[in-house]
Amino acid sequence: MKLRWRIRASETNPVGAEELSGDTIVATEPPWIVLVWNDPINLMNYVTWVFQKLFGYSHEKATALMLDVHHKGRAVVSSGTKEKAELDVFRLHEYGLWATMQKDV
Amino acid sequence: MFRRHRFFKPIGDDRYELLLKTDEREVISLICNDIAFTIENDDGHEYLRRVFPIAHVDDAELNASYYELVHADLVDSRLTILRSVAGSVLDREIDSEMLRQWVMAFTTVRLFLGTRLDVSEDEPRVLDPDDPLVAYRVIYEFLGAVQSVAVDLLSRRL
Repeated sequence: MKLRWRIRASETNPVGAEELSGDTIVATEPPWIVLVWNDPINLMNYVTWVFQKLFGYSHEKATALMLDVHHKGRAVVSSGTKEKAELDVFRLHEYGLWATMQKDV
Repeated sequence: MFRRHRFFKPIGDDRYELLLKTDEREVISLICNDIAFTIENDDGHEYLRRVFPIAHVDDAELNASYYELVHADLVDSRLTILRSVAGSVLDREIDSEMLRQWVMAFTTVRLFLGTRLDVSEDEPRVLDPDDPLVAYRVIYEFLGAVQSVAVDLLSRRL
């Protein structure tokens, strides 16, 4: 799978870290966020289970995120490098959730 | 609509007996194979738009890049699971990995059917016998009921 190869390559340079170049500190690119959007099809217990399974969240945190999605229309469920966000979106799409990613501006 | 709650019976560690009726198993097999056929032959079908969603809200170029990166993997994943589930419906029992695949296959089918039925949050869940899509609606609700029970069982294993 192309994505799994890409995420491994990115793990040595996490977003948010700073790179030392001589005496200069160079900030890396801003992190990306992954949003899950409300949909009328997926069951509430299913969405909660997916958040727990994919991200290792507690039942309480996963339920709170699911309720945010349900009541507010969307929720940020993860963040990180562009490659990590792509992988998270892909995994959420595999599980049938409507996920998108964008820069955290 | 579907009041029978025991579609699966836990029988020891990591095993679940299938309590589905013969006609229910046939429906699951048929609909999974049907959606797999649609994906294999027309993965741009209008009712598959929620099965293969976009990853960027307002950026066609990034969406094209994402599509190039993952679409073939998503198609393979969906086809593998749908066919795996269709091939397991006559089993007497399944393990938690297969139960997970059942849940994922039902998600794919329900996304297709829900899009076809134009399901919304607010609509009453009442069957109209005169609705030409009533059979789809029954399958959609049935798979939701089975999936909910399966998710509850899988959640106990987290």
